[in-house]
Amino acid sequence: MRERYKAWLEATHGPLFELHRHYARRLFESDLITSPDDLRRVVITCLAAVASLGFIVPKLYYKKYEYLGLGPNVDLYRRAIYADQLFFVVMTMLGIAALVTFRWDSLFPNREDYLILRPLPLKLSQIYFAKLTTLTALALLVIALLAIPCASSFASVISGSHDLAPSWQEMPAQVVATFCAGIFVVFALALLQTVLMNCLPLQWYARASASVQSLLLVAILCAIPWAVDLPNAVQWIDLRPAWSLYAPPLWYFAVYEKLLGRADSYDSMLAVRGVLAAGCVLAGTILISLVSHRRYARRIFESAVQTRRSRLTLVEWFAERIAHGSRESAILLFALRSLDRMKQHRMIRLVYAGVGCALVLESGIGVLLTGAFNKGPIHHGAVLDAVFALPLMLFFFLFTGLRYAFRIPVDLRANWLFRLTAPDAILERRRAVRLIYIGFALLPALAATAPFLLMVMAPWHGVYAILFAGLIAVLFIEHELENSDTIPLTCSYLPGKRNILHTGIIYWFVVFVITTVLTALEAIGGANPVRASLVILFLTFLAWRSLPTITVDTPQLRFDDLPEPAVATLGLSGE
Amino acid sequence: MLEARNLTKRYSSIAAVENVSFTIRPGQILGYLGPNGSGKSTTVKMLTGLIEPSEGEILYRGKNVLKNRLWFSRHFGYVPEEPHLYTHLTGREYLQLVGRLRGMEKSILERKIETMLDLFGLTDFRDTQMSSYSKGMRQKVLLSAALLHDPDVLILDEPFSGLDVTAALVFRTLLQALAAEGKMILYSSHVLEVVEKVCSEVLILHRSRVVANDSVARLRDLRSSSSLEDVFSQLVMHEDASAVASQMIAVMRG
Repeated sequence: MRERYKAWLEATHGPLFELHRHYARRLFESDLITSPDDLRRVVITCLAAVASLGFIVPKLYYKKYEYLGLGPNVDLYRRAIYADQLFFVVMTMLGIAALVTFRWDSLFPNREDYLILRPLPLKLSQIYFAKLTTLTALALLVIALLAIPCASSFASVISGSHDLAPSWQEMPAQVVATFCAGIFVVFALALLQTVLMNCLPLQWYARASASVQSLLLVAILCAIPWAVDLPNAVQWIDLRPAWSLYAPPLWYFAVYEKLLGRADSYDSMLAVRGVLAAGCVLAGTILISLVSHRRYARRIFESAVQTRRSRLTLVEWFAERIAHGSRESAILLFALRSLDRMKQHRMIRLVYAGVGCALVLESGIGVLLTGAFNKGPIHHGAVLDAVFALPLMLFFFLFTGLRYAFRIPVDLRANWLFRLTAPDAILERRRAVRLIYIGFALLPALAATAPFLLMVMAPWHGVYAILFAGLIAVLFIEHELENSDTIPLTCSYLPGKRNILHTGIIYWFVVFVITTVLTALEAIGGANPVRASLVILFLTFLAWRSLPTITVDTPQLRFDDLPEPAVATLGLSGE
Repeated sequence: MLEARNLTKRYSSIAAVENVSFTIRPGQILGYLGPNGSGKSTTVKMLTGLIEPSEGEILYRGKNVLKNRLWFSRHFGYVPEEPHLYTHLTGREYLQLVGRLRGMEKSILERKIETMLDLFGLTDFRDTQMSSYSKGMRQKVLLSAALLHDPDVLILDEPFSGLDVTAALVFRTLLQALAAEGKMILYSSHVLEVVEKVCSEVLILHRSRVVANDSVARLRDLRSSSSLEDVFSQLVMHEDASAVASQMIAVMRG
């Protein structure tokens, strides 16, 4: 059976099947993935991880519902179920939105797709819709893997003494509601991109599309901490404020209620709204695509190449003025332009920055909600630790995002230029990279958190926290500069050296551990103004000591070499 | 004078280049020829320092290049075989990057960039990212980058690849003018007609070894051939091209 399936899969099928196969493979293509085997491993691991979430549900919820089931409060039991159902809907929507946003460029064919596929005997519509349906199919697969195990596990867990509906009804209702929510998200994003694609001039579209993608990604990451808190929303889950009319997660929660026959008239209206919205975005995407796919292909081919000035003009102007010499400014501008223009690098920085912002927002809002600030400036306790952690946490995420991006080459084969012209540019590299770390990690982290620190703490405490975070950041930057000897984005992350999942996990784990330890130390040091001054003096001394030292063993920068390509000839030379 | 002595490069036990020696004097253009896989690009990469030779030495003005890499890198310009460049940069930005990494003064650099882009007909595309450049346009940028700092040695690996007829003609004339000014030029190529017209001497590699190193005229005389192509065929081709072509057609129909 397996052999027959394998043989069928390896055989050539119709153009649509082959197009989907082609696009599906390319969906997972990335320089961060090392080889086809690694790719397969990553895909299977991710899908298995998604599917296994369903089997964690009983472990997470069994005790809770067992405890609630023992009590007499049926209403509390019901509200707990509602809160958890809303949580599933919201997390599914966020997960699918993150997937589609990550693969934003894979929704529709690009110039390269048309260049490769158009000369083949394929219709434009086949090229266009195959790409759209490939990502959609992946999204639906993820929804299925997420919804079906979760729904069946959850339905069995809540079927206790206060059970509101039989499991055989709960489960399909949850699956259908989740599918509706997922379809709405996938096609709402597709529709957004279709509209941008058709309404904007092509040269604006690329920029606008990248900006929308960035905003969406940061918004999704910022929404995750809020969503994680939803199972605790038993107090307000029954409320239906006016804004719920415009809150898609509540529409699909209402669909779930409607399917179980528990919806009141308002919920019914929300459910209808949800189904209509999913249908509208689906129909809208298909209709606009049907009408515009030929025009889209024509625009991609026929649009004249646009020349434009860099959007970093101001940053570049400033960078040129603060750089010490032509080589330093060359390295600095190269890194800035590459970080700005390379999608992969921008995405990495956005993910790190988004997670950092999300955590800081969550912590900041949490601090305000505790009410500790209402009694005057915060002086001690866990709330003070949380406030102290804000600039450090944001800095670490911005810093590690940059550091990780720097290790992924823009084009490894093009680094011959640096190898020939700047193998000895140790000092220039160090100064240029320092400026980037300061300008794009240290200063933004301090600027974003300093007003809040000064607002919620006593002035001397706020200044201490800012100085402490700034000096620790300088020490980390200098340590990093001393321990790396590569020009950013030119080398070092050869495919196959590290697994992307491991890298992400290690980085984030280190960030959390370091932030926790440093925050504890900071709190101890900030017990009174005298001790705080001594700590700052000590850190200033360390930072000053770290600045001028160069302990690079070799006088040359490091460049990784690619193995020589095998040269295959026609055999005309007798080889 | 640039001199290679017994250059050898081995990958594991397989020799990519074996005992290659040659000399390029000021004003000389050395044509570096050979079939695919004969070791041309490997030699070029050893000269430029991108890979280390397993054996042998390279001398420039009597100094060992392998021990004075930085010094030598200031004296040569290089055009690689494949147009590997940072395509997310514009043509002007790329040339600025190269010039600045070579420590050129800004005003001189900007003037040179503007003029070179203008001479190569790239002015209209100077602020366009090179990802949308044609192969020929990228090659022009690479040629400009190699000439920016007025090097004494030019190491060119298939420099005319993708260039249009006009640009190729201009560049061919430029090479001869540079040689007349005393520059040393290594010209690695498959295009025998151009090599025959441009180069004063040629070196032919076959299976990693030198099989000929002499002036074009003398090689023609020695092999009693009318053209460099005939000489090349005699030295390196051991299969009947028409027989291979016939087999290809048979496969196509097959």
